[in-house]
This record gives sequence, structure tokens and C-alpha cells, in this order.
Amino acid sequence: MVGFVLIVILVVVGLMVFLIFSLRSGDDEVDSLAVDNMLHVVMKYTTECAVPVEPYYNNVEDLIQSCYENDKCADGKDACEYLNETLQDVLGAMIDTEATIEAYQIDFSLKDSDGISGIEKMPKIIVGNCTGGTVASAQKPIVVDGQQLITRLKVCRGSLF
Amino acid sequence: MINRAQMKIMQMAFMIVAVFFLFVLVGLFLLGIISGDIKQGAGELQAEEAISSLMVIAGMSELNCDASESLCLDEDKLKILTGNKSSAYEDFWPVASVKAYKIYPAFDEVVECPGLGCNYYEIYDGEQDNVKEYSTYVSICKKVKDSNYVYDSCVPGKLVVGAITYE
Repeated sequence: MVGFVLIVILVVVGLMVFLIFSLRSGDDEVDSLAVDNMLHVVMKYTTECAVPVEPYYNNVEDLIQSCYENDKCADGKDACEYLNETLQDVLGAMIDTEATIEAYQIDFSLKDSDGISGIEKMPKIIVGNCTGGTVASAQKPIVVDGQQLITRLKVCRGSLF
Repeated sequence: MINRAQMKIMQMAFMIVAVFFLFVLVGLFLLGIISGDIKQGAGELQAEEAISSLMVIAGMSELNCDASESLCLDEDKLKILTGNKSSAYEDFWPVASVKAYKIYPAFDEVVECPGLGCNYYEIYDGEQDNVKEYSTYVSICKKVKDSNYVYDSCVPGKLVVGAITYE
């Protein structure tokens, strides 16, 4: 009887160790240089939205700021609408060149003295489903009115084999 | 005739063997997971190292937009290097090949530069065998003058560098 209890205890300890290992590796979201480069290049793309007049064309980084400040492009289109379309097109084209990316997400949040909060009016783009792949992410802060507007890009890489 | 005590001993022996195999299997399973993580980590490190090397090449004054800008290729410099003057640089590149292409606007057909509406720059090709290519995202920028205002017009692209493998 004592032997049986001992074996049960050993098996339970073994299972707990295994559970700790598997849970730790499953939730990992690592900072990645590749995703950081991707975000950097997206931010530099020159859009066709000029604020306030042509030819002062915004790059994506400026367009994020314009969207946050409720600006409109010179053609009358809303900066946030333009940002949404631009991000979908540019990121979509970039992701198409990668064979291993299953899903990606880009979102914006505001960091101030109260903490980090989402921004309702700004676009959040989620494409694909991450089914057990490795999640790599990068973020870039932009200072607007003394607050930090954080752009975060998350990419889920699956395995080819 | 096997008596009760012998039966108990046999039961215990079988139990010990079964428990031993169970632990061996659990151990093998854990080892598989750990070694998988190590392999994945090694792959990620290798990729990060390759990207760092690519960033060095993208930062070379022969290609970059500005010394203060990282991951930015000057389209005018690319045009010159893909033209006839590129032969002068044959011994310059520390790699087997250097290419760049535009990603957006998306294209159906590769049009080599220099040329109208081109999207692909073959800067250097040492025509080596056993070449493994690594790539990273870059901005391909050009200076545009519009109504006396000069600005950088940038599109996303990829820098592809070939390294010789000795496998």
C-alpha cells in the first residue's frame, strides 16, 4: 500500500513538471528583430494622404499621429480610414513574401500615467489564426501630446514541416 | 505450484518494470520537447545573426539613404549600381550576391532595373554555386520634388544577400 502511494506521488510530481514545461513554452511571445524591422519599414512607407495639403504626404508614422488627432487628408478622406486601408494593403503585401507566417495583428494603445489603454477610434487589424505557432512581436512608441502612442505588431510563425 | 507469496513477488516485479518503462517514456518525451526548444532557439539565433549582417550591408554608404537611417536603401544609388558601373564593384561585396526588390505596390511580373516600372535590382551576382540567400525588409526611398518641396518617397522592399555555404 505504501509503495502504491509512493508511485502515485511520483507520477503526479512528474506530470506537474511536464505541465509547467508545456505551459511555459506555449505562452511565450518573444521580441523579434525580424518583426522589428518589418514594423520599422511599414512606418516609413510614404502614403498618399497629405496633411494638411499636397505635397506634404504622411508616412505611416505621421498618419498614425494624424489619425489620433482626428485629421483629414487633403482629399477629404479620414486619416484613420486611410491608415486602416494602408496598413491592410502594405502589411498584406509584406506578409505574402513570407512562407511561414500564419497570422498577424497590429494594434495601437496609449500609455500614460494611468497605465496602458486601447484606443477605440484607431484600427486594429487581425488576419489569420495562430494555431500553435511561435508568436514574435515588436512595438514602436510615438510621442503625441506628452503621451506615448504605442504601435504593436504581432506575427505568428507556423512551421513548414 | 506457485504459492501466494511467489505470486505477490511476481506482481511487484511486473509493477516495478511497468513503472520503470513509464518513467523512461515520460523522460524521452520531455527530452524531445527540450531538444526541440534548443533547435528552435538555435534557428532563431541564426536568423537574427543573418539579419544583423544584412543590416550592416544595408547600412553601407554605397546603398543607404542617409547615415542616420537604418534599413533604408537609396533608389538612385541602386539604379547606378545595377547599371554599367556595377562591374567596378565586383571585388567590393563581401558576399556571393546582393539583390533588392520592391514589395509594395504588389506586382505580377518581375521587371529588372534599370527599366520602366522596374521592381527588381540585381546589384551583384558572383555566379557562385552553393549559395544560401537571407533577406530582410528595407525601405527603398527616392527624393521627390513637388511644388518646390523635396521629400522622401519610400516603399517597402526586401534586401536579399547570398552567402556561400560549405556543406
